Amino acid sequence: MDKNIELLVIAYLDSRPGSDEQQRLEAALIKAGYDMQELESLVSVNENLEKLNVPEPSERMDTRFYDMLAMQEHKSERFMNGFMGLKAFFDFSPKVFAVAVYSLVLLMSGWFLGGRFTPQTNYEHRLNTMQTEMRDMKQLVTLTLIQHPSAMQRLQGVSRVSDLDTLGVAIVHALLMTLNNDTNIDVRLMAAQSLARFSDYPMVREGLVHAINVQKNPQVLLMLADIMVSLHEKESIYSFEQLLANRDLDQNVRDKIEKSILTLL
Amino acid sequence: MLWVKSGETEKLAILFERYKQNLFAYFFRLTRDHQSSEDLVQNVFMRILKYRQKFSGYGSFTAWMYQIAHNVFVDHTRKNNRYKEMPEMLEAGLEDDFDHDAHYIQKENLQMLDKALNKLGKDKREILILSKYQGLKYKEIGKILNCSEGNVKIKVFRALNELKDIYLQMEDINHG
Repeated sequence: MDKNIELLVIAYLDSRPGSDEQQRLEAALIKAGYDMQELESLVSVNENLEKLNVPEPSERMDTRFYDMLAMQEHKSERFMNGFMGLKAFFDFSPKVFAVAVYSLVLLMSGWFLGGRFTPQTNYEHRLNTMQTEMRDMKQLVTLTLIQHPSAMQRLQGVSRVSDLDTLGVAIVHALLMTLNNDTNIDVRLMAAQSLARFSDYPMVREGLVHAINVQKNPQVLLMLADIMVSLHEKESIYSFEQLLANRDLDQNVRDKIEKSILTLL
Repeated sequence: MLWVKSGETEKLAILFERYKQNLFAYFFRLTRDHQSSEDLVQNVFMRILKYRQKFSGYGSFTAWMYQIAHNVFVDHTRKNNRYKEMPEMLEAGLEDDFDHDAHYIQKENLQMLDKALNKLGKDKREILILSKYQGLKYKEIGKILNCSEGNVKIKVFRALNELKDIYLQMEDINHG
């Protein structure tokens, strides 16, 4: 087959269905004499190909990776510990040790004097940068897990939130999205719990109150009622009242909400 | 990746979390073996760590990673000499999603397509996996497989065309 036709077919398959570009490519293929039934079969195979599933990797894969990483970190530490070996060398060579101490005193003096004339020492700056980077990394890993296709991983991600000192806007958004839209109830329950720990964030409080009217699942609603009571969140009363207006509301949820409103009043 | 390159190896965890599922899927579609696929993902990250200084930082990290993944797979097939075909293994992965009766025909079609994919030659299957599942551009696939962008497109077309023929043959046998 002519290579140009092959390229045209690939461009057709890659183009947006119904777009002008696709219509233009279809016309070019008809003009080139390409069998339209063949094209239809290719489109079908191409579309179905994207629907093929693969199973999830096991937890073992994660464990092995993190073991490998820990070993690598250990190796780096051992390298650093190699410097300690120098101490042993100096113990056997007092003269060299004296020179080294003298050099170190000079170096420290310079560092100290330099520090006096610098508003913020490099050391402090580097420490702050490292702490910020570590915090960002923790948040990024958590965010990646929260948005993972596997419910198990999302659950892991949401539970990791409790290890964070602060929450970035992206994580708060992701948690609220999870609370309101996740297909797995356990993940949603865990998201509500994790968010409640950061109730001093106005955005989190507002999001939790907003979730009351979004949720349909009784378990999640019961948990939200408990959270609102523990936070003494009076803003939730209006949302609860709206929920009570729904005749199809689960009786257990109705009882719980009525009690919660009384506590909050 | 540039953090990992500069010695902050703990940040490899971010890359692992981001790409482990896609890499696993890449190997699983090629090997049909759950355990081997997990081992191969581990090998990729070991090589990333080992060769981190070779990452220039100018090109896409994903393309570089798949270049390593491709090499890991080539080494794996060389070591195992003959490639094992186990089409029935993927069927288990398809079961859960299509319980509903209305989806029965679709389920059957997908299972047949999966078997057809497994009948394709290793190279053709790999190029389809790279282009359809891993979100790589033709140019990036060209770098991984050491050929031009145009050549990749032609190879993708031919692989897809052959897959379609195998699939239609299987359909004829099943319904005929």
